[in-house]
Amino acid sequence: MKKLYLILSLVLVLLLLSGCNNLGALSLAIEPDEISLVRTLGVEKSGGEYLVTVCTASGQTRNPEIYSAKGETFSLAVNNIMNLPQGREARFSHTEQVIIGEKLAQSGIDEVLDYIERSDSMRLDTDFYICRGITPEELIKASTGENISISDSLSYLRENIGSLGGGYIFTCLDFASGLGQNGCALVQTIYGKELLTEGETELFPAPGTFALFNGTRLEGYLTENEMRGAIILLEKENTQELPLGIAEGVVTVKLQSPELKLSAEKGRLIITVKVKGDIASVSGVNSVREDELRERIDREVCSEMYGYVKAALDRIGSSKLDFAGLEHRAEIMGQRLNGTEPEIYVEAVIERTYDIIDPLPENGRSLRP
Amino acid sequence: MLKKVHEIREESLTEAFNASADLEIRHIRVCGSIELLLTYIDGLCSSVTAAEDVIRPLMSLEDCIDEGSAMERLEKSVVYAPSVKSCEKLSELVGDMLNGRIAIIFPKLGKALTFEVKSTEKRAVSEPKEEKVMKGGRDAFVETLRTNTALVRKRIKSEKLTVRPLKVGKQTNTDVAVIYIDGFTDINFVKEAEKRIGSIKNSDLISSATIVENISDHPNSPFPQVITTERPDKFALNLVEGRVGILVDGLPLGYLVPGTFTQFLKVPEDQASHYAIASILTALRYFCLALSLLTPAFYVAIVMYHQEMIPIRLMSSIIDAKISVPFPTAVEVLTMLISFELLQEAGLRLAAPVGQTVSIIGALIVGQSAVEAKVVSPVVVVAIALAGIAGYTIPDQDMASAVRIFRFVLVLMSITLGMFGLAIGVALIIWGLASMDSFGVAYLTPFAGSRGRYIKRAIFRISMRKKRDREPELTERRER
Repeated sequence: MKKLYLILSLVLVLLLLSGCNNLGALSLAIEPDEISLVRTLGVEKSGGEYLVTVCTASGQTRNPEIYSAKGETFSLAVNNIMNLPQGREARFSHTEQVIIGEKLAQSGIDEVLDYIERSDSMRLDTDFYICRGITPEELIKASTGENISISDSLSYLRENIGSLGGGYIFTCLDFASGLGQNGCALVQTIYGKELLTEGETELFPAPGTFALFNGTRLEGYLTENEMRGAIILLEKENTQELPLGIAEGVVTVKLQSPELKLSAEKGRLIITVKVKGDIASVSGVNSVREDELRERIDREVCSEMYGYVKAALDRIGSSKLDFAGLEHRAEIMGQRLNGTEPEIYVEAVIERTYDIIDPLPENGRSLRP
Repeated sequence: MLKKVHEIREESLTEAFNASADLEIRHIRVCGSIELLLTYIDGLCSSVTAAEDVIRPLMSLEDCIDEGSAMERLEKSVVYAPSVKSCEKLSELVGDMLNGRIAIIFPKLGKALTFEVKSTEKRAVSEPKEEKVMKGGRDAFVETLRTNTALVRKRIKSEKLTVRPLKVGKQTNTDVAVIYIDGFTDINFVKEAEKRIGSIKNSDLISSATIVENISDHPNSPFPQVITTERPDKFALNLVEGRVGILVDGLPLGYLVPGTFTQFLKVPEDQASHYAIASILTALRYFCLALSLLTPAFYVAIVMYHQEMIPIRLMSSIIDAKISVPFPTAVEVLTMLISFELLQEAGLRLAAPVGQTVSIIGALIVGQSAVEAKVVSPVVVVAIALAGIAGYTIPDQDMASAVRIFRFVLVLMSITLGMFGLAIGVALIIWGLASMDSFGVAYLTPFAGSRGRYIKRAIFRISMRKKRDREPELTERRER
């Protein structure tokens, strides 16, 4: 009897443990070859219904497949896409990207967010995108071929977001926590970019600027400078190649993620940005001495950084959407911001480790090590 | 079966041995008129020693007037034997003869003298066959009890080393020795061991299982509770740690109690290596134990139920491999597990060179062919092979066998209930182990019971400079 009680209590403890309480999952034994892993999920509103488009992978040897389904609610649309042809089942556990259509974003994405947060299979660290100028279905279909899928393109984009001109890829968790903390959030946008490959024009996803959400509704889009400023204020990783026009030439500086220091004094925010970088290339700068060139590069970089931060702060002021959470951060420091314009200080430390395309004039010292 | 006839006479002796062919009886006349009987079991006695040391001096015996004076002289002098014993009962005489002693019967007195002239025909001490030695003694126990006790005494040169004799088996009368260090080993262990060995009544043929099953606290559990070794150094090491040793005549193995879980993952080489290396290797053995027990079941659970746990690239590889296999994952894994056991068993039963060949052929050709024929997917082969190889790191064969059994059980539970079933299975195994004890010591000590502070001793080898005389779990018993 004692043993029976022990076994019973053991089973109950396991059943009631979080993560083990999905009894429905007990009957869901499925063979690996009977499932298709959803890698990219696109959602858009179409005719008052949710249109869900998925790009799936069934092993490395099979071509990616695209399926679409509609439903009155997002949940219904997802359920409708579960049972795929040839007796296979769609699994959302490995979803890498969620692409939201512009129309749906404007009408609100509460339902989609709610589903992702509650789903026991979808992960919160899934990348979150807003599709601009094209529907997710069109983009997924257009950029998926025999050998490449939109999932691969977006994975590449994630790896090289800085060099491709994008900002930062926020996850569902970033988005949800932004909403929870500041009531607004940012999302990386993508659009279809036509590229000529092997004599044919193909559409690939390319990064745009950030979309700004007021609650769960799309409010608008940030400009390039606002996006750069937002990255600095949010202290997100982003390396950027910045071309600077100096003395009829071009100096390209490769900047690392800037370091941000926030402090508040008497209700006024003090923002100090320290940016490090390397000179990637110098071209056409023939009449400037090295020390002067360095000074001008530092000055230009500081000016650019200042412009970015200023633009982001101006957007926060005009939209009344504190996407950088400045008020919240000041509160943590024990200060309440009084609406006075923040002080901004920028310091640039630019090294030289890259090759220089054109040599400097003889009267100037060479930058080459 | 001996009759209740206690007189020592030729007829009663012949009857006692049922006129057995190897019973030798010879009539010898000494001092002119005294007729004696010389008797022994052929094969148990050394005939050369008997002739030289007993018969030759006996024939030269003179000046005896009757059997009484002859017996007195033979008992005190004449015969060149290290040990002489007087028997007045037939049962005593039979027992001595069965122990390899030669007897001189005095028919008129109804008495006998027995002399030790044991046969020297025994296997020489050789290297251990089952337990590999890297840094340690190269000798192993043999089938002769006295040789084995001597091997232990060579390592523990102390008068405190006590050897208590016992007889076991209604028909076999097997000699068993209970060995411990007096004043050091907990005497309760000794008494309990003697009690349990003494209670062996029904089993006449003394095999290893007879001893182990009769002295184990939980004979139904596949997990070993008696440490079995063929190495005298390991045996001696456990004695000085406070355990009780048992040696059985005819079995080239030593048994040690109490046996706790952690002891089955230790090897004598740990004491011979640097403590840091020994500690890492012991920790590795624990890891391998878990790997061996859980890998196939974990594979089944995640592939059939929890695909979300697998990274997408690995999942894609698994899908690719599975597409061309017609059998469900459960059948694949069970088939491979059974095949693995078959190969292992075939390799063990065959002669060493053939056995190795079978294992290699099995592993290389059968496994490769099965994958190529798309009977099983390569990932399954990898999972089962990993579990199998990890299992070989467990030093104790009995522990490894228990792990093999529970590997199957966990796979079946995973097939039925996925990770939930695996969790239940593991919890039940831990519960079962935690509720076991061996001679009053918690089986999972120091992981269970009140000896949490000794956990690091179980996993890591303590530096010899800090080592205490006796294992802590053997000093404070029944504190659970």
